[in-house]
Amino acid sequence: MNRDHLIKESKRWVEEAIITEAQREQLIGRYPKKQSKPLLFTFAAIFIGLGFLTFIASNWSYLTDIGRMGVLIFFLTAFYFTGEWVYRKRSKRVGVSLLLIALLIFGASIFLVGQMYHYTSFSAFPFFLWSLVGFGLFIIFKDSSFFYVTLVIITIGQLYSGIVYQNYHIWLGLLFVTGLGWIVLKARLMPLFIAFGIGYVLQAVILVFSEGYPYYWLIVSFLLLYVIEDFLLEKGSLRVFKTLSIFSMFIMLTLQIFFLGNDYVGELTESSLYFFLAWAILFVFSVVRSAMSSTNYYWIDLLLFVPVFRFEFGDVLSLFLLFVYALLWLVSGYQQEVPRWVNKGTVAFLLTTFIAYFQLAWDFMGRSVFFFIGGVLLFGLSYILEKKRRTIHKGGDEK
Amino acid sequence: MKRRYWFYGLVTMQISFLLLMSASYYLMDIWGETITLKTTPVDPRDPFYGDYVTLNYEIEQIPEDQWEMETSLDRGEKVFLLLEEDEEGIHSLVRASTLWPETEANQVVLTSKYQWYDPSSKMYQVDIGLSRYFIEENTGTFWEQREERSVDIVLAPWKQKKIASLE
Repeated sequence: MNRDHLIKESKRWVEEAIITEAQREQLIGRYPKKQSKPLLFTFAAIFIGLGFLTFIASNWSYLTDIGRMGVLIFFLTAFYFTGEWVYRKRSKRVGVSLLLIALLIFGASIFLVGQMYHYTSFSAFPFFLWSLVGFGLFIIFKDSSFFYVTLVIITIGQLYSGIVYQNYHIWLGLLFVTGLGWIVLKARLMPLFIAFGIGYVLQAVILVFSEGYPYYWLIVSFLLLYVIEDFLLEKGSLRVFKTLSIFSMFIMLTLQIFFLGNDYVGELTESSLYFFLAWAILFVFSVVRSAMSSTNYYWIDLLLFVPVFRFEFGDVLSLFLLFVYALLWLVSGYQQEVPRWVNKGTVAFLLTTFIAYFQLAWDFMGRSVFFFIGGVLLFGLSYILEKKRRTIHKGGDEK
Repeated sequence: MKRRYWFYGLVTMQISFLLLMSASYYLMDIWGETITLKTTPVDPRDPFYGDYVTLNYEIEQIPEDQWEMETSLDRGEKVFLLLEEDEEGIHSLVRASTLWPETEANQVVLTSKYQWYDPSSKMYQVDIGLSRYFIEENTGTFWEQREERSVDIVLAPWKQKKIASLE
């Protein structure tokens, strides 16, 4: 029921002596006045801003360099100051969107001015500067939009640095870990944790591949993400970093199944002493942690972090790990009657079966037969698993 | 109130950064030193991409005897090129090293980044960071017609450099 409706209706209730005037006010108080549609204003502001920008862009080549500088600086200042004024006096959301446009203009300006004056950069430094401003805006306005924008700029900049310069931009990395990490720790909000976790995984992947480290260092980075959550979050909260870490490891093991069969495994395993040292410390630590914890089942997660690539038949072992992981969650889910674990095990098991089937049967089966049999196989499996899962849910209800 | 001052500071910093980028370009004409470099013929099949010309300079290809480094370098490491002006007013390479070289009267130093070593031609490739020259749109074909040309480059005392003109 909305507020206006309630105000009208409750007037009658008072007249008919169903409730008293005081009760009516209490009831109305339960439906606070909503903010009046700032969303439309936001879009309006964004559209007007974009209109100006496209107008400038289409007439860009007719302007002299000085004229272009003037235009850029004019729009930059205009959007910043209107944004700040609107933020203070009118609406926070519209203000923030104007400030976001100003931040975008600043980023575009760095590259446009660079192009005008024939600057060539050897690194992702422009992105660093840009993200630093985004970070500054977050510090000043404490609005999470700036956090996300900064995260996106850092990630794109790092990606750019990795692809174009084959180089991990260390300052972007530092800003990500210390700057954004500090915000996340202070704010302790779930969406920020999720965004930061995804950012971390991407940073780790870019670091490993752009600097040419062997890919197995990713195991250590993901394990670190897994371990570090224990220090950040209180017990009982959602396992954001852990889930992300497991998810990444799952994908990595899948890739191992497909690619470890190739011949380059020999060179991969060379000089991996530091890796094993780092891995062993983290792994032993997390084993001890999970042994000490009240729910004794989370050691199953740790199975995924076992570095099977060392062995000659690493691809088979990776597949084996995934199966064991899925089955253990299924079994312990049934034993302890935890539907969440059963669901997790079910999804993992179906995925693993599919991967195994793909890996084993793709080469020697006709394509139509392959998909047909695969479909029937998955259908049958999911039917059985779903049936089992329902019995658990019913069992839970009876208690 | 305090927050607003931080905000103004942040905006001022962005504007001054952009202005500085612009100003240093113009100030180079006053305090900079102009040198002329030769470009090697550009591969005529695909020399243009978008609205800029790709330039390869002669001094970016360094034969082994002018390469004064013992150890192998990583891609992107700094290499200093010592250049000397000849009778025609063109600067050509004397030697390349990772240490800042001593200069004589008609010599200048140019910073570059190491790229790769080509074993077949025994040449080291470096990048002086001026390989792109943005041109007016749709004038690409005009530039395509000539193969070898000389480029005037301005070197600022603050290590910045720019292309002054293409001939």
